[in-house]
Amino acid sequence: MQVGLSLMLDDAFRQTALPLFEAGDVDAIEYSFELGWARPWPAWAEALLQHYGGAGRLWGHGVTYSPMSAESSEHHADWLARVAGECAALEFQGVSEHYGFMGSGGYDVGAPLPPPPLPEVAELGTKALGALATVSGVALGIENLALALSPQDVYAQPRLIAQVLDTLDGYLVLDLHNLWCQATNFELDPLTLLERYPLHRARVVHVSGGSWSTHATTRFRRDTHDAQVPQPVLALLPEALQRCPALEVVILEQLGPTLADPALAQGYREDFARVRELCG
Amino acid sequence: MSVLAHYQRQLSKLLLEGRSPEFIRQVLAEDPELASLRSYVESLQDAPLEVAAELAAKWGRSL
Repeated sequence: MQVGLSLMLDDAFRQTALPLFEAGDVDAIEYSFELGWARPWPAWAEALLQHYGGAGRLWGHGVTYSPMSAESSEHHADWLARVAGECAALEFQGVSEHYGFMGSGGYDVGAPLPPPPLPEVAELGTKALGALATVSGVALGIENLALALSPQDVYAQPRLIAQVLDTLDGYLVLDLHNLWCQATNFELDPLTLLERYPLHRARVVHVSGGSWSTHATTRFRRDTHDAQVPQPVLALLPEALQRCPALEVVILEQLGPTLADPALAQGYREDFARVRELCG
Repeated sequence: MSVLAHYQRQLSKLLLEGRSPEFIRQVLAEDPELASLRSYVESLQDAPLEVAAELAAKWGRSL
């Protein structure tokens, strides 16, 4: 099993991850397109992208495509044109996006939200993600979302993802922290929830940390990528490895700027070592 | 406009306005164009709606 990192472009990430790269411990990297749209690639990051791309160990990932927006044709066209440029410059094994929508009709809420469980959601997702597969020329993936507004979202998500992936013959990016967020927030057994997903299509697993927020008397788990991977998420990793026969890589995610804190940087390296150990 | 498009537009607008979970549920539940989604709308929970509004305030925008 390959173990990789979500590439960040800031210096704190470079300093923290450099020993892992130098030791040859990083098998693969995942690159989020929008990072490079906000700032130019530093030379060291471009070298890594070219190296891992050439080795067949680079995965592309998006955050802001919003494939299940009902009214986003102009945004979709702009986004696809930019990603087409990235795919011409780099060799990706696959490109993926998050389940959900970020707004519609001139409103952008800034983060993916779950769509209501309507039949047309799968049709919209298939059309938008099919367009992404076409412009990228590589395999298409979908990541499960952490945020659910209703218990109905928790149950609809695996079914709708499976429908889209079946139509496009795509792959699942199984985010274990996101799955654990939903299980925790809606008081469900995480393994039971895990088994609702099309695990035979999982090629990529994400692991990350997050945070809690408090709302009246309710604690709510959030996918903020700003802390170490919690033990219950690490405990899910062997369960996922057993159940995902096509899995190729496990990616550790953490926001780059958080790694400027020496304790968090050390924790990040410990997480990587722990993930590597669990992957055998 | 489809039910899905109308829901997405209305929910996004309410989140960007920083409305409370109770207000969001009430507006969506009373919208005749969203009658087919009423049971879903009524199942939307406070905590995730507050999180979504917080994200919208931080990262969102009206185009």
